[in-house]
Amino acid sequence: MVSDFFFPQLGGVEFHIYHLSQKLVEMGHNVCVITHAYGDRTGVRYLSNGLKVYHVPYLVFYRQTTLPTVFGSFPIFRNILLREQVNMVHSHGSVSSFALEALLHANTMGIRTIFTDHSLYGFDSLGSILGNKVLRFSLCNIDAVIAVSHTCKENMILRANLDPNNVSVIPNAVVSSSFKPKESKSEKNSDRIVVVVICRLFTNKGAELLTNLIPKICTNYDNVDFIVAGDGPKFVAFQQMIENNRLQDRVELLGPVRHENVRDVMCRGDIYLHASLTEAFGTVLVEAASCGLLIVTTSVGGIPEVLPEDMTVYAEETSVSSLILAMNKAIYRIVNDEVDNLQFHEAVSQMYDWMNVAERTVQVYDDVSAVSNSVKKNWVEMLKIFYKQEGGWARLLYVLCAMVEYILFYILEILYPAENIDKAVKWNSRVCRNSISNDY
Amino acid sequence: MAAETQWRRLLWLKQPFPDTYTDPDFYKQWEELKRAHDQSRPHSSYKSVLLDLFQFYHMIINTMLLYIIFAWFYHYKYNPVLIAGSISSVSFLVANKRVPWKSTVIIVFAMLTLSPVLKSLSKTTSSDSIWTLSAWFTAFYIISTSTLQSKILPTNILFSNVTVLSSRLETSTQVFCFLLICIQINILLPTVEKYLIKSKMKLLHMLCVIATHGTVYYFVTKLMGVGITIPLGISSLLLLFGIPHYYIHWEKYYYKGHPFLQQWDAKKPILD
Repeated sequence: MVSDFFFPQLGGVEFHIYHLSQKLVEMGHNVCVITHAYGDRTGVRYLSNGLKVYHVPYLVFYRQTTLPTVFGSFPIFRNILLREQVNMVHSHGSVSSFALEALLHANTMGIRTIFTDHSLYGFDSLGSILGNKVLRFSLCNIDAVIAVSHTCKENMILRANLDPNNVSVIPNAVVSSSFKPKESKSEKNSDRIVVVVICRLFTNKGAELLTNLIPKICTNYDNVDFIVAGDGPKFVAFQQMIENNRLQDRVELLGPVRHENVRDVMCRGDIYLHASLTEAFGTVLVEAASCGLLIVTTSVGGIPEVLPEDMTVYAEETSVSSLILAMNKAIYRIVNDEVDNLQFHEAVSQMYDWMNVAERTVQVYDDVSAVSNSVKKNWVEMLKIFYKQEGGWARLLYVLCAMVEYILFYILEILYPAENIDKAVKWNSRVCRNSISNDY
Repeated sequence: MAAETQWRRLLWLKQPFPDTYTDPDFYKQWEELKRAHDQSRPHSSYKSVLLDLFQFYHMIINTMLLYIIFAWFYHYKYNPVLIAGSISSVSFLVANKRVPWKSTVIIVFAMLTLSPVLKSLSKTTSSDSIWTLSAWFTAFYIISTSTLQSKILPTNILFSNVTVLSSRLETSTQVFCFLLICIQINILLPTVEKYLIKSKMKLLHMLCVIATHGTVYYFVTKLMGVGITIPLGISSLLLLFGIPHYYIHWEKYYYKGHPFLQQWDAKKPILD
């Protein structure tokens, strides 16, 4: 598993990597995570169940992504791959230059490569055009690609010019035991309806919609309160909204909430409000539904695929008025007790489970391994694929990069011969699990 | 059972389809997108792009005349009064009908007063700094004249350039003549050319263009030799005829804004 995004940072990609790795370890696979160093967290660390994490000291460039150098990470990466005897590299996140470079290096070393993307990108802005070019280069010789939703898959296919049959859709999941609903009605005030908002307060999470929506709902309904959790650049806008409309008693602004406390915050509410403007999957919706909340959300990106109709009320547009309509519907359903939210938790735990995700991912690994390595990872064949790409200058640049990479491979082979690199001792999960169970 | 069940675009539902199953609707949209890509798109004609580019090139050449005049005074020590006198009489003949003579006289006297001031204004600055400043002023002048509608900023930049260069000249007479010629060439010459185009005097306009280009290339040869002129001329011609092809290629190739591609963009919040 390679990505710029991993613990101690928290987020969708990070949890995906962590939980998937844990389940793969449980299934008897050896997994190590390679990411960049976070502050003084450098070198090798172990997480639960012997999940080994390499924090590679590397220059962090922008928003926790490393400086793209194409070849710079090859020496250390080659060393780790040989040391751990890796036979499958699984990269996450298309803005993580570390993950994309890893694909090139692994392909050069004849190791199979998988890529998972977690977000949606446009085609029009300068940043996304550049990002898509880099992605296209990196995914030229990929063995398989995984997307978190159908919307995300289609986005990927167009961005990187992929073969649709090579892209699997495997959603995220939640640890349903961490998102249990409240045990009794006593955990909250029964005559008041509480709406929970938990998101990073960014523009693309719909912060402006929320600051316009909340005062209107508070005026329309006397029995509706809000809890807003999360931090971000729009935090001040929320504070201003509360003060301008004198909603100190109605809207509680919690600020950043630790992930383990998210469940407790969610359980204080009846409705979860999500006003995001773009979303590939929306794990938080599944978490909220698992806590037994009725979901009110915009229907952007992959959101309509995530939850069944009886758990959600969709706003047709990303507008304040259609969100108000959706809120009206949701409040009506809550007041008239039309929501069978006691069943939500059980249903969600049936729908989304990390073990299921891991099994489906392993299926992808197996399919990839079925094809002979010597054919797919032949340098000449890979060069041909680079050369066949569109773009007169781009493909020549691709070929040039690949050639330099192959030359570097030989130079590294001379400087640090593969047989001189120590092999790491594998974590014997069975022994450890036995010892843990003996301790109990 | 698998064959009969209709695939649904849902993630929470366990469906008897492989994970690599692709939405059939997506294939349709994709085909449509490909078709839209292959369709020939409207693009500008080669001739119009070439003419536009030539205009830009001509403007750069016009700007270069300033340095030639400067070289006459600074390097060759030509008699400034003779040159200024002859150019002034030509421009007076050409622009006679269009410019009111009162304002001309005022401007000339103002320049006469300013000349000694300008000569000493940046005297203490080293010559290298002056050349660098002047090069930047020229770059900004070219950018501003070709992008801005109003002539106020370019004229000011031109004046700054001339001011800076004036400090390297020896006498106030030279400064006055330099100032006069520069204003005549950079402001009157384009105006005259525009007038010629407007009144459809193609032959005269062509002669005018050939004269400027001839002058510039003649001086490049005189100063730096044929070894520089020939590569310079050939590369300018190649760029002049090559860049329009590249531009049209981009017009054809770059495809923007198919509604299908916009569905992944972040939606705009509607605050109604």
